[in-house]
Order: sequence, then C-alpha cells, then structure tokens
Amino acid sequence: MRILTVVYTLIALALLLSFPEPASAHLVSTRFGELYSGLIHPLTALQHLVPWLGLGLLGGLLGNRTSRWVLLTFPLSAGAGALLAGGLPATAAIDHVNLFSFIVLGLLVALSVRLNRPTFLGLTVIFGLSHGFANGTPDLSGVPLLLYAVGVLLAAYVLIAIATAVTQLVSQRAAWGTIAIRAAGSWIVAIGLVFGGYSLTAGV
Amino acid sequence: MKKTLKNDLRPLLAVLLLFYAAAAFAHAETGVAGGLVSGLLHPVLGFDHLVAMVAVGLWGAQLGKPAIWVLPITFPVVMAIGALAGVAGLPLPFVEFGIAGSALVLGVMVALCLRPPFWAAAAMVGLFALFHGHAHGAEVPSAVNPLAYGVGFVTATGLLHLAGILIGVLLRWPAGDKVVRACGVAVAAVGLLALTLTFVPA
Amino acid sequence: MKPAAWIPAWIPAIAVAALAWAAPAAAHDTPIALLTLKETQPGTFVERWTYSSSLNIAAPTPVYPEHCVAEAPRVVCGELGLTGDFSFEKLGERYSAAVVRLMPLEGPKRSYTFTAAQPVITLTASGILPLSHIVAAYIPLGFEHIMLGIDHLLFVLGLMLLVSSPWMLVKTITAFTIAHSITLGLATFGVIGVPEGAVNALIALSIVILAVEVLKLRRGRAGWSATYPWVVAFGFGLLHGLGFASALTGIGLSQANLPAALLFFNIGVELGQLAFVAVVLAVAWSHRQLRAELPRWTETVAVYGTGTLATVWFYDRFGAIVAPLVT
Repeated sequence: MRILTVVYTLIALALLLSFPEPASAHLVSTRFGELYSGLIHPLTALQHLVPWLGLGLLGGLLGNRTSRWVLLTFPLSAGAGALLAGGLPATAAIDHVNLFSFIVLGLLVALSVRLNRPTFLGLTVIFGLSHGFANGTPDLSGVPLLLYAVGVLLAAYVLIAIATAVTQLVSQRAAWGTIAIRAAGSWIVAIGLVFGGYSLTAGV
Repeated sequence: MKKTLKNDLRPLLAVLLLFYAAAAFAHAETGVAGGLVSGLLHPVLGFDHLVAMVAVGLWGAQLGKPAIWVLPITFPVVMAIGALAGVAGLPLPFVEFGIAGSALVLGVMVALCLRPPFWAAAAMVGLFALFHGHAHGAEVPSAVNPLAYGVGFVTATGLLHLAGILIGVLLRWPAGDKVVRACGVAVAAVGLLALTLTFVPA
Repeated sequence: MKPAAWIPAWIPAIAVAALAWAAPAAAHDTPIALLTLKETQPGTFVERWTYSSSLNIAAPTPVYPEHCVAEAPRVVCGELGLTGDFSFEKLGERYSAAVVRLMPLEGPKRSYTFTAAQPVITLTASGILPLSHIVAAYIPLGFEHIMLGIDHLLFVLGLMLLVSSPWMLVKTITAFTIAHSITLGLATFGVIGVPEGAVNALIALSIVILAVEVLKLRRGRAGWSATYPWVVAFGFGLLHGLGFASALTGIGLSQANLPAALLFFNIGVELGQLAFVAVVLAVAWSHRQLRAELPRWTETVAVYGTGTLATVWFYDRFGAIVAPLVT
C-alpha cells in the first residue's frame, strides 16, 4: 500500500504541476462549468426527452444482445453531436431530423419491429448525433464546450439505461407489458405528428 | 423465488420521481408545466370527451382480442391525424356534434354489448378519433408550449382508455358485466345531453 | 451483492476525466450576488453590490416595489419605506441566489434570499418571512448545493462502493446525514467556527482516504472501514457538514429566520443526496437488467482516478492555505 500511495501522489503532483493556475478556475462558481447545464438541458426539454424515451422503449423490446450496446452508442453519439454543435452553424435540418425521430421511433415501437443489431445501432447513432447537436450551443468553445458535451452524454446515458432496462423488465415480466409499451410508442407517434405538424405550419 | 414486477418497479418509480424533481429545478424550455397541465386537462374537462374515451376502453374490453390491444395502439395515431387538421386550421364540419355523438354511439354499443365485425368497429372508432383529435389539435397553436400541450392531451387520452380497460377487467365476473353495461348507459346519457346542447343556440 | 458488480464504473470515470481536464476545483461555493441596501435618509436607500462569483458576471436586475423610484445607486421609497413585492429578473441563469441585506436607520439588519424558485419576496415592516417563502427558497438551495458539490457526491459514491448490502447502505447514508446535520447546525448557530480553507482541504482528503479503503476492500483486505462503513460515514460526515455550513453562512441569514432556513436547507441537501444515490442505484440496476456489467478493472481504474483527483484537490486547497503563510 505504501508503494501505491507514493505512485498516486506522484501522479497527483504531475497533474497539479501541469495546471499553471489551478486556483483561478472555480468550476462551481460558473455553475459547474457547463457540465450541469449540459446535463439538465435534454432532461427538461420535451423534444429530447420524449424521443429518447422512445429509443429506450425500442431497445427494451429487443433482446439483450442488441439492446445493451445502446448504453455505449447513444450517449457517445449524443456527446459527439453536442461537441459538433460548438463548431458548426445551427441548421433547421437537424430539427427536422429530430421531429422525424419521434415518428420513426414511435412507429417502430408501436409495430414492435424486430430490428437487427446494425440497423438499431445505426438509428441510435443517427438520432444521438442529431439530438446531441440540437442540444448544443454555438456560444461555447474549448473546455466549457467539452464539459457541456460530457453533461449531455451523461444525461443520455442515465436516461437511456433506465428507460431500456425498465422497458425490458416490463415486457418480460407482465403479460400486458408488451401491449402497454407498444401503446406508449403510438403515443409518441401521435405527439410527434401533432408537434411536427405544428412546427412545420407555424414555422417554429 | 420469482420476483414480482411490482416489487421491482416500486423503488424505480421512486427513483424516477426524485430524478424528475431534480430536473425540475432548472427549466430549459418555458411553459412546460403550464402546457402539460392544460394538455392533460383538455380531454378531461370536456365531459363528453372524457366519457367517450372511457367508453372506447370499455368497448375494447367487451370486444376482446384483437380489439383490446389494437385500440390503444392505433387510436392515438388516428387522433393525431385529426389533430393535424386542427393544428393546420382545416375546418372539420360538425366537430362538437361528432364528439357528443361519439359518446352517445359508444355508450349505446357498450350498454347493449354490441359486437359488430372488427373492421366495422375499427372504422367507427377511427372516425370518432378524428373528431376528438381535431378538437384537441385546434388548441395547439394557442398553447403556452405546444409540445407540452401535445404530450398532455395524448397522455390523458391514453390514460382514459386505460381506465376503461381496467373497468373492463370486471367482465370476468357475471355481475361485472352489468356494471360495465351500466357505465355504457351513463356514457350514452352524457352523450345525449351534450348532443342536445349542441342544438341549443348559444 | 458484490461491490464489483453494482456500481457502473464509467460515471465516475467520465466525471473524473472531465474535471481533470477542466482544472481542479478550488473550494466550491454557491455563486451568490449580494445587494446591500443602506438607508441613508428615511425611505431612501443606497445600493451596493458584492459578487462572490470569480468571473464578474453581471448581477441580476432588482425590481423594487412599485412605489419606489430607483436612480442608481439610490432608491427612493418615500413614506411607505421598503415594503411590498421585491423581485429579481433573470435569477438562476448565472447566479444561484441573490441576497438582499437591508440596513435600516432604526432596528436590526435583515437579510432576504431570492432564488429562481423564490424570485419574489413580499417585504413587510416586521421583517419576518412566511414559512412558505423559506421552504421555497432553501430547499432548492440545499439541493443545488449538493448537486454542484462534486466532492460531496464523490464521497457518497465512495461510501456506496464500500458497503456490501442494501441495509448497510441505508445505515451508512443515515450516519452521514446525521453527522453532517449536526455540524451544519452547530456551525450555523455559531457554536463552532469554520476555518473554511482547512475544511475544504480535509474534505478532499476524506475522499482520498475513502478511495484507499475501497481499493483495500477490492483486494480482499477488508479493514474495519468495510465492516463498519457507517463509522467512516459519521466521522467524515461531521467534516462535510462544516462544508455545507460555509455555503449557508455565505448566504446571509437574518437571525429571526435562521432555524427554519437551516432546516429546509438541510432537507434540500438530503433530497439531493437521495436523488444522487437513487440515480446511481437505478443505473447500476439497469446494467444488471441488460446484462451489461463492465469488467472489474474498469471500476478499479475509476477508483484510482477519483483518488487521484481528490489528491490533486487536497494539494490545491492545502496550498491555498499554506501559500499566504510562506510568502
């Protein structure tokens, strides 16, 4: 144990020395860097929350061998999307992709389509990137942007893990479970249709 | 020992609630709470809406498979198509008449325990879904937060179906059948009342 | 329940990586803007702002009661004095809270705390706030304080790694809660003083020690800390309570409202702590349900990372105490 202590004291010293002015950066007085805002943003915005839940429902209806990879692909692509948003101009096309995600994910759940692994993971990456991008803000760059993206990643991870696992549990343990989940999928389609129609006609 | 779903879900529910309480301290979107509440209340406050939706669940329970699971899955989507017309401001003739009428017709179906062929029942419910959706959709552009409003009214409608289906569980017992039919009579009465009110000049 | 299998490792791993990249946090404080209003003539007040933010972010805009006329830095309220609805615009975007310290010509000083959840306070001549104001203001403040306090959360996470059964977790978290409530109370009432720098340094050290204990346990050498984790939780909980207290004293409370404010701040802290524990447990459960447990070494890496980060914080905070003495 002594050797261990020495080793990580050395690592710590090295880290400490690599920061020229550690005391100047108060993470928390800037609201935890942007980590906290990145974490909260997608969870309080229904246009992300609803389709993310949809993705969780979809994953939970598939087998373990397919669904567990979503824990990796979706958070990482959402984080990457948020990073990209710092460098690229915002575009309405992304919002359209996100509207589309309501309907695609909702329909797949409602129809209980057995997607194969590459297709499912492809969807998680595409929608992860688009939703991550829509969460991002162009005002950030550098370290704050990275922290913000990590926040989005953590939010995506926590939400998708719980949603997928709960769906799986419900669909496996209860006779009515799959029907309830498919009905929830159709709610998401309905919400997507109404909101999409509104967004396109009102030009939001 | 087989674990039950109930035992597994209870702590999780608590988790989700706490989690959402945490998130609620910082809103990224405005008007979420207001939009949700008005959306949730819209189908509940219109009494003919409310009873018609419960009747859909009741009738689904009476018809049994496949209606019992096709209804809750397809109804929201068809309703959303009606809502789209409402959002876009496309006029649908006799909306109020259609909604009150749907309560009357569905109530009668449940009260008499009528079993038309599946496609006929589906077409009838689908038509009613369009009227109900139109009425909800027309409110969308004026909502504080249209998305939250949409989430609210879709969820409320779905939960009302669920209420109907749960009452339908009573059908397992002979006496329960009478209770369900009595509910149908009540629904039909509300529908009839609402229908006559549509003819009274405001 | 094996400790290895039930905490997903990459939550702390990612948090640690992000924090290590961003720079070590110094003593963490809740960002608060303080507005002092000094009555110079009857009904006329002078504004003075103090920001505790290290980045000079513009203060939230005060909205005075209707009969008051604000001509910065003076506020003229006339005969009615400073009574009625007082609020702040854009609170909660950059500042957690704004504190108004009122210094009237006669009578005791008063403090009012505004938060995003409580942006409007109705001022009265007597200065006593209704309970609902205090509940709405201090529960979110406590909640936010622990959520932003990554060092407290890492400590709680460490405790979760140390325990081996759900019942032990309940006892440990309860011990931590009781301990930090005691010192938070004592410090807020001024029974004990809080050397803020030293407390923050020791809090960092408590995480280091905990990380070492967790690593010992994982090598199969369960010491007394794994047998009696609630003792560890209680002991260090006393320390963490002092940390919470430094945040609460910074807010500036008037004596009249102190007990209630303390109670609801503490409740907010507990709710935040429970929410954190609940989310970690839920995510861990999800991994098990989805058969997506990670290999054991990932967790070891995360514990090392956490320990390293806490060590950096310790040196950083310790250095901040020693540096003025040396130079």
